Amino acid sequence: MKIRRITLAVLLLLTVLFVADIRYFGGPNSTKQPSVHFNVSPGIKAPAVEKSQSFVNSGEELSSLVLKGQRGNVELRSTDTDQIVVHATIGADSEEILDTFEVVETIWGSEIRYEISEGQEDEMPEVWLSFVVEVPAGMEVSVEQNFGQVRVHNFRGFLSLNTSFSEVTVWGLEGTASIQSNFGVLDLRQIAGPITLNDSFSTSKVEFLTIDGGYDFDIEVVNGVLAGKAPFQMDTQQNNKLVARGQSGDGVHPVVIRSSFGNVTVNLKDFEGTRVD
Amino acid sequence: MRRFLQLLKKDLQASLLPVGFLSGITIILFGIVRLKMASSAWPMEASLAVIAIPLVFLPLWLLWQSFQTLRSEWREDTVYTLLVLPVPGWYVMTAKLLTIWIEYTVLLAVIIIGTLTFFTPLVRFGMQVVPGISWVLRNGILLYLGSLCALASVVIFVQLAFVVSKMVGRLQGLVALWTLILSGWLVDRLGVLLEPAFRWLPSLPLHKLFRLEELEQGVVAEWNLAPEIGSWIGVLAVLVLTSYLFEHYVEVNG
Repeated sequence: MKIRRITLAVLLLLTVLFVADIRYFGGPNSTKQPSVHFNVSPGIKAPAVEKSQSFVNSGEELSSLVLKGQRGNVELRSTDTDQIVVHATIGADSEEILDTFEVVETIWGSEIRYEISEGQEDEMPEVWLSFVVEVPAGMEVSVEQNFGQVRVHNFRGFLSLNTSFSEVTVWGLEGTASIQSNFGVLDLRQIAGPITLNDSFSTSKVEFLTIDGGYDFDIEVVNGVLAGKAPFQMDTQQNNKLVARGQSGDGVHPVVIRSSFGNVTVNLKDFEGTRVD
Repeated sequence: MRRFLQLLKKDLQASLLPVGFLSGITIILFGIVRLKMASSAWPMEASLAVIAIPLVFLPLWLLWQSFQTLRSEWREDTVYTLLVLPVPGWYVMTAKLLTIWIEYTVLLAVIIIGTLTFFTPLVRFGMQVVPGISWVLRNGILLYLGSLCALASVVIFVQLAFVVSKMVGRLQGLVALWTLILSGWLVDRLGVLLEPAFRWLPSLPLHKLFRLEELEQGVVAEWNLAPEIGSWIGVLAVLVLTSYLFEHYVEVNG
């Protein structure tokens, strides 16, 4: 009889803990990170043939640059000159396809835009378009990229990225960033300035540098994971929603992050507090 | 070791009839569909459906068998003998686990051989999609080993649930079901709690292990092992606990 009582007591104790876990911590799915990270970035295979075009423009009259890449790589950096230098490379599976495409430069007011020309056939063949770009500091740059990589180094200005199925690396940003990523991997380091990040089905790591005025963190992650070492308090809400709010310094620079089905890590460099998981 | 093998032999003899019956049913089902396809009554897609039927049924059958192998000891009163014999509890539990593994292997082999024999056009079509025979064999073996591990954890949970249910007087079915849920939750929580201790472990690159780049370039799949280690320790602890409870506290007349 004794063993029956002990068994029932143990089951009862575990039941209480189980119910408390479900009630107050949201159950097994609330805090466990997904073990398997799956990422598909098709289009990594190299094109068979390529051709390059280069463009140089003065940045005095132009304040905005738009790049529309696909399948290739976009490399962007700021310089101290006032010239906008764009090296574009088009790739394709054959010379016939390559001959039907070119990079088109369009200037509209103070905006300059680079994109691939429309093909002669109704159905768009597999074409790669890569950019290596240098822009004057302080310029507004918008990059659209599908299936490829975007690398931004030591950028000073206003950066807008709209990517899908892409790997995005930003190392060194002084200015403002607005980033939209679907099915991608984002690695943002040495960020100094306000940022708006919207991602879905992506893995995002953001590391901020400590700056005057500090940051105001406003983070919402739905059906995903949020972690990091930064001055914010995380609150678990219903429907698998994680909300984090907090400030560093005076909270002058807004950090707005909205993520769905993503894995978000936010760190503030030299922050002494504890890590949030 | 000889005693363990005797236990295994006893369990295998008990599972001979049901496994033979299921293997026969599978082959007959494949044969009927093959004949229908040969007479153009059914399209080739029907072979996909008929292969899926035993594959879907297989996990359910094994779940039932993991429960049934212990239940039969009480039903046939052989549990008295088991407890009187000088064999540790883990011999009994692991012999039953090994029996389930062997049943799974045999039934899976029947499905694969049946598919290769009866649905050759489908296999040829499939071989055009995959990179090569060596790729299929390698990944097939890896998946098979992975499925053995997954199956083992399910069997271990069911064994604990059954043994605990025999330690209470009433509502044994409900207790077994509830124990199954609680043990799954407990092991999952253990994985979460121990995860920080294993963060130093590197992620396992599944795309390299399975050579996924040969199938589709740009596919990256990584398995973060840190949250899993605690769960695996938990599953082993459940096996030890079940063996201990079976050996010392189980009610033979429950």
